[in-house]
This record gives sequence, structure tokens and C-alpha cells, in this order.
Amino acid sequence: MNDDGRRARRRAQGSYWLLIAGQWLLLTLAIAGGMVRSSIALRDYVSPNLSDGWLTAVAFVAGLLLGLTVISPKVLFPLALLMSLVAAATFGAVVYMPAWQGTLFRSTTLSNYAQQQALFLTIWTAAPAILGSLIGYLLSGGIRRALELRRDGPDAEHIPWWERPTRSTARDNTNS
Amino acid sequence: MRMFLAALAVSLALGVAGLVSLVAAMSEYNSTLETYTQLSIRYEPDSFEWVEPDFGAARTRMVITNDSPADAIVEDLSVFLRFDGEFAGTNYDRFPALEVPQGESRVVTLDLLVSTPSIQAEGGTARLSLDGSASVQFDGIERDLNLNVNERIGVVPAEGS
Repeated sequence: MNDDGRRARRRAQGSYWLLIAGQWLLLTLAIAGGMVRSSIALRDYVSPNLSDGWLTAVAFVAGLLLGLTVISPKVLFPLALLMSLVAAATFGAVVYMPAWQGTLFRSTTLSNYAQQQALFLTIWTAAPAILGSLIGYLLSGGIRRALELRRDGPDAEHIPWWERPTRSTARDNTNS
Repeated sequence: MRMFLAALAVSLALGVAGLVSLVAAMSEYNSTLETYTQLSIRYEPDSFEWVEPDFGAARTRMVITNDSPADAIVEDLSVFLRFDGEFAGTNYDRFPALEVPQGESRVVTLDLLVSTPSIQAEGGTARLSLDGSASVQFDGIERDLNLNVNERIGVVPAEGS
């Protein structure tokens, strides 16, 4: 591959991981939204209140979506775990927020309670998120292959979509 | 590629829904907490008096102040009278629901009956205190608040002593 091809490949990879980062952030927000709606800590203050099953389902679907798009398992599972951690940290901050605003006293009790709830929700959502990401990862290869077969036919050479030549590399190949 | 874009689209929808849910929940949590913490039930100083000279019954006034942004209804105000921390009696009469509009206060008189004969005679020398709870409904908030009452009165001798 010549220099232009390598640069194009690097740009494509950079764009790809940027999209994955954006997706990760969106899914983390989805899990955090589910946490505030279903946690015991906020049950008396927030309505409507969802059951724990909804939170588990959201975490699973978030992991599944991440698994469908992330091509490297070495990155996928830490990302899935990090999703739960950051969502739980956001939830803990929400619980403690009245203390920062002065509505409640800043007490060790409230701080410990927020941390305890955040830790519990991390564990509660990490398992379905990681399981969902594993299932998504296993499904993704099969779904891609099925779509390619439908488009290209059974005899076409299989090239993964992220390794197919871009317009610039195809132009270079034609010129050379 | 199509699957990748479809997964991104669904992630975007979930993320936006999650963000909206998070922001709405934070706002509701804050406003509910502010409302809950701005209603108080306090003992009116120097209002405690013995109705019977043998310390069998007493009367006291409580001030209910609603500084919250919502109208409130206070129900089931129940207080225990304690002599040096020990249970002595309570207001056995049922407390009628009381409306306390936002920004206003109400003074209620509670009749307390001492129902522990073993410590009744100590009423004039014991450190008196009140503790109990009330149920408060706020306008616009689905869940009732269970408000605790913990007030120290001090030593109140019998009239004329």
C-alpha cells in the first residue's frame, strides 16, 4: 500500500474510532437515564419510576449495540465496563447534587450513600452490558457476512468493509 | 456498513432519550427536595404547660411553617412526650388534616396525656422532649413526605411552684 493509501486508511480508522466514542457516550447517557428512573435512592423524588428490569434491559441493549460496531474485543469489553462505571458515577453525582447546591447538608452519610448506590448500580449494569456486548460482537460478523452475501452473491471474494479500497486508493490503483 | 449505521442510529435515539430522562429527573429531584426541606414543624417556645397539677395531662403548641413553593396538607401529626428520654405519653386525639398554604404558618395546640404512671410524678423535674412524625401532602408532588419531629422543651415545673 502506498503513502496515500496508508494516510487514507489512518483517516478512516480515526473517523471510525471517533464514531465509536460518540456511540459510547450516547449509550452511557442511556444507561444513566435508566439508573435515575429505576433506583431506590430517587424513588421518592422522581416519577415515573421504572422497575429494575428496565435498567437491566437498557444495559443489555447498550452492550449489544456496542458489540455490533466495535471490531476489537480487546477494546469492546473495557468499553462496556467503562459505560457502566461512568453511568453510575453520573448517577452518584445526581444523588449528591443537592448537597453541592446547598439544599441539603454536606454530610458523610449522604456521600457514603451516593457512593454505595453508585457501586451497586455499576455491578447491576456491568453484567448485562458485557453479556450484551459479547452477543453483539458474535452476531456482528454473521450479520455483516449475510448482508454481503445478499449484495455480492455467494461467489464474490469476501473483503471486510473496513479494508475495502477507498476512492483515493482506488484512483491510485487505476493510475498506477 | 448498513449495520454499523443502523446501530449508530439506534444508539443516538437511546442516548437522546437517556439525556432527556436524566435532565428531567434531576430537575424533578431538585424541586421535590427543595419543597420537602422547606416545611417545618417546631415547638413554640414556652408554650408547654401542665393542665393537671399531678402531671397527668399537658398542652403545647406547635408551629407549622410552609416556606416551600407548594401548598401543603399536614395530617396525622403524632408526638410522644418524653421525660428524660423515656416515653411518658402522647396526643391520643386524632389530628385533623390541616391546610398550610405556601408562605404561611399555622399554630396548632396539642393535648398530651401522660399514660405512664411509673414516671408521672417526675413531670415537674424531668427534661421534657417531644418526638414524632407527620404526613405531609404537597400540591403537585405525587408522594407524601413523612416529616419527623424532634424538639426539646426543657424542665417545666408545675404551675405555682
